[in-house]
Order: sequence, then structure tokens, then C-alpha cells
Amino acid sequence: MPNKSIIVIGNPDSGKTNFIARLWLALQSKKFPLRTGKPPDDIAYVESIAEHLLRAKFAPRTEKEDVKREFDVSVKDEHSGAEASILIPDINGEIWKKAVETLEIPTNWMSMLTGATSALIFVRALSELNVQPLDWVTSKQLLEAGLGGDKADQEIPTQISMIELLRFLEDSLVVAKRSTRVRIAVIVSAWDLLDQDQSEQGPEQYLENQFPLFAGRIKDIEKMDIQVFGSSVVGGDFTIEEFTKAYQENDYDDSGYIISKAQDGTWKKINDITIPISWLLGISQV
Amino acid sequence: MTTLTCKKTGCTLAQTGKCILDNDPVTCPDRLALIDVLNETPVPTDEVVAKNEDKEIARFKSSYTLAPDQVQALMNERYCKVVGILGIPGAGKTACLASLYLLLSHQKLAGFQFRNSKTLMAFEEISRGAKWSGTDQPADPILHTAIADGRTPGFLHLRLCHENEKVFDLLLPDLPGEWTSSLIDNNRSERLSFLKSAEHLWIFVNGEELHNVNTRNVTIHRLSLLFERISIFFGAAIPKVTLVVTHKDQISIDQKHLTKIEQSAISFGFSISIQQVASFSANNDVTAGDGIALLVADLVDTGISESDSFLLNKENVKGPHTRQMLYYNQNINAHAK
Repeated sequence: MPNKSIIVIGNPDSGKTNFIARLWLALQSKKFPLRTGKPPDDIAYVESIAEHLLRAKFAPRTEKEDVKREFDVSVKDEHSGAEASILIPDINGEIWKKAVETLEIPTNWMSMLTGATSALIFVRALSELNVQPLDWVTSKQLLEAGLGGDKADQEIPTQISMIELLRFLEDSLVVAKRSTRVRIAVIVSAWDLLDQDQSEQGPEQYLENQFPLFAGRIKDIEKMDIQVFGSSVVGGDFTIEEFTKAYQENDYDDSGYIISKAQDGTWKKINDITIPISWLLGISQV
Repeated sequence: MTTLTCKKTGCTLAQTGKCILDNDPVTCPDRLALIDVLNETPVPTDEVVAKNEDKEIARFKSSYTLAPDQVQALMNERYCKVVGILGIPGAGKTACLASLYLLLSHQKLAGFQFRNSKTLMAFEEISRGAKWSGTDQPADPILHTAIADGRTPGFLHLRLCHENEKVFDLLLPDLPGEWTSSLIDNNRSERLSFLKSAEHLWIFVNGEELHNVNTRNVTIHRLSLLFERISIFFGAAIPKVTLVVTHKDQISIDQKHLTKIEQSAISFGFSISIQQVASFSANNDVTAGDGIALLVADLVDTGISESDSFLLNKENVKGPHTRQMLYYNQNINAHAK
């Protein structure tokens, strides 16, 4: 029976599934401090998504909502000896998108949410599906027209979705009595796509620049601990032929990294995708 | 007329009007027993679980406008600055709120950063054109459920961080312009009683109507009437008042007209400041949102309202002078930082 449950939240194309796939490979490689303990019985789902990465392809966006997509594994930290049994349900991004739009979610997923002990929130850098806030020209046109039939065509801006998802977490997780504060890791995925200037500024500044409302909101959380990370599951883009060739030739365990804030405030690039999970489990203070 | 129903298996009361056991529906023990069970079942509020056709659906709380009881709960928890917003239809109130939200969304509200909003989707909807339909009834029943009866206001909430690191909460009522018109024409002030808790009053006026010779005198005359109503309504405890002149991008207003308006307010016993804003802009020389940051900056050091009258439901109030205590605590904390 898992004693920890990490809920994974994010809009479609935010990088959730590929992160879980890469996490499984990293835990199983036993090259990093956080490792799998006893092999899980059912690994069909994580194996199915990890296969894409092993074949040098990203896992495609999943379309079916109701397929059971869970990752249930025992992990142990080699440094501290801490052990945990974790359940990571990978809920389809369309469900979260719909939840923000309608405030409704199937009760089985709500149970997963309220039963979670911590959460990962994903947003993908430079995703074509990221929706920018309205500009003044469009807003003026809409104001003049009034709220009409075009309402459905207007997508909710990504930063608003993220704040709403965070609010859902705050309302669901904090209410349950817990002995420790809930931890939330915000992951900016596809970090390798950013240019050098953006990359050097770190994930918090990236959020400030791209999603200022969300960046402000996470500074106002009183009852949960929040940490921002950048992530690149394989360290590059499989659409680039040279990268793919190098990835296939080299040890895939060496690919991918996390951008994490050190205690001195600087951002470090670390070749260990499990770092956010260690932090969520309370094993590391980052 | 309500159709009688019975939850007893096989009972056709709803269809035929007759109890399957030939009992009188009013006294039928089976039916009454089931009604009792239903009455004892707690009514879900925040996370309503509704039966869908094939699966159960849970529901999250919304972040649309706050009803007065929600505002009271928030104001008992932390000190919030209430900004009263008045202005006849077309004055530019909603456009200004939408533009304020867009400035924050693009991190362009000079001197301020967003921290939180309990009414985020309400702001989002307003920026997409949700507005009053021109009557006391709201255009969007979801957005304006709090004011569906036309007598209670819906509130927008913002928590901002000023560049001086001071974090403060704003409550901005989203009111139809007709409420201001009826205050002027019919002295309908009872539904505006919450304004007595306002630290600051923004009175909107359409700058084009002050600029246009055909509408200027009427506009100044109506403002004068509004000032008189306000002075009577607030008595000695009138809050700080700013006249917000919209459409700054399109017009320039002769100072003598503004002076006449200022003098009108003084004649009723209070002074006003004037802030011109361009919520949107059709002029390359004026940026959309111009003037709004100054409008908000003017709120930062506004003192507490002298009245607690917005806390109408005294049962919810933790104790007397709640707002004064919260205000005091907030300022102590700010100094401690």
C-alpha cells in the first residue's frame, strides 16, 4: 500500500508523461541516490511510455481519458536510507483542462487529488499549446461585442489555468490533516529549448517573464511549500537529427537534467531527474 | 405548481398523481419517511457531487465574483481595502477593471506585482466582455450570481505587492451603472450601504462626454448631483474620492472644466482628486492602461474607513472593531519587515 501519493498536474502537452517515463528509467538505473526498491508488480504503463524514450521519441499525447495510468513503486534513498512507497497517477491533461473550464472532475480523479501527499505541476517552455493572456486590442473588441457565442472559442490563458490548478490543490490537499506541510514542485519542462539568456536566468525568472500572474501567485502560498525546477528529460530535441544520433550512441542514463536552486540562490544543472521527487518526499531539502 | 414525487420503488405518484398504495400523498408514511431521509442528507455546497449519466462528477469551488457573505468572511480574516466604484452606464468602469487585469497579466502595472485573486475567473470573464446588460440583471448568471437579485453587489478581489514590499488586498465591487443613475435620480442608496466601509471612492466619468460641448454641461450637472447625494449618504465619514476621467487616449479636457467639477465637490464639503485614464488606446502616443497604475498607487496609503457598516451580519464578526484590529496588525507586520 503506497504511503505517499504524488499527483501530477498540468495542461495537455505540459511534459507530464515524458517526465514520468524518464523518472522510471532513472529510478531503475540505480545510478542516482533515489532508486527503486522491490520491483513493482505492474509496470506495463511506465514501460509503455518509457519505450518511446528508449526508441529516441517523445511519448505522444494520450487521448483516452479513462485508461488507468499509474506508476506505483517503492523507492529508497541511498544516502539517507529513507524509503517510501509512492503512487504517481498520470492524469490526462485534457481532464485538468476541462476541470479548469467547468470546475468539474470525475470523482475517482478527485479522490486521487485529495489523497495525494504532494504534487508536481508542469508547464512546458515554448509549448505551442500555451495560451497567452488577452491583449488590449482583443479585449476591447470583446468588451464592445459583449459576452456572446465566441466565448467557447476563447481559450483560458495558461497562467490562469495554472493558478486555478494550484487553487484546486490548495483547497484539496491542505484541508486534509497532515503531519507535514504539503510540498508542490513546479516543473518547467523542455528546458533545453530555451536560449542561453533565458536558461541562465533560471526557472523562477522564466515564470516571471512568461507567466507573471502565476509567478506572483506562488509567492503568496501560505500553507504549502513550493519549489520551482526546470527539467529536460533527455537534454535535447529528438527532431534534431544530430542530437538523436548522439543520444542513441551514448548511455541514455546520462541524458536529461534538472535545473535546481542551490542554497546560495544560484541555479544548478544536475544530471538527476529524480531530484524533484526526493524533495517532494522530504528526503532532500534541495 | 410543484409536482408531488415519491422515491418509494415502484410508486407512480409523479406520473399519475396517485399513490401506488392508495395513500394520501400528504400523509403517506412511506413518502414522508423518504422526505425525512432526504432532509437529513447534508446539501453539498463547495464540492458538489452530482450524478452524471454514467459517472459521478465532483466540483471545485469557483473563482467568480464574491457574494457579500464571502466578502465578510474574507474581511474578518484579513484587512482589505474596499474601493467604492460609481459611474453611470458607459462611464468606463468595466473597461478600467479589465485593463487593470490586463496590466497585471502582462506585468505592466508599474510599481505593483500580482499576488492573488479569489475572483480570477471573474476578471478573466470581464476582460472577455462579460458586462452588465444595461438593466439590474446581470448578462452572465454564472458570473454575477451574487447580484442576481439586483440588490446585492458582486465583489472582485486582488492581492497586490507594492514596490515597497507592502502586500495589500483590494475589494472592488462590480456594479451596474444603473445603480449610480438611480442614486442620482431616485436616491436609491440602500443597496449601496456597503460603500460606507470603503476607504476610497472612484467616481468614473466618460472623458468624451466632458469634452463634447453637447454633453459637457449635462455631465457636469449630473456629477454635481451625484456629489450632493454622496455627501448626504456618507455624512461626515466621507472617504477619499477620486474622479476617474476615462478615454484619455482620445481627448484632452480643458482644466477650467475640471476646476468647476472640483469646486462643485468642495461646495458639498469634500475635495476630490482627478485621474485621467486610458483603459484602451487608439492613440500611439498613449499606452493602453495609462493612468491606472497611479490610480492604484493612490490606494496604498489610504487610511481605514471610519465605518464598519459593511459587516452587516454581526453574527459573523469576531468582535467589535475587527477591521481596525486587522489594519493595525497589518501595519505592525509591515513595519516589522
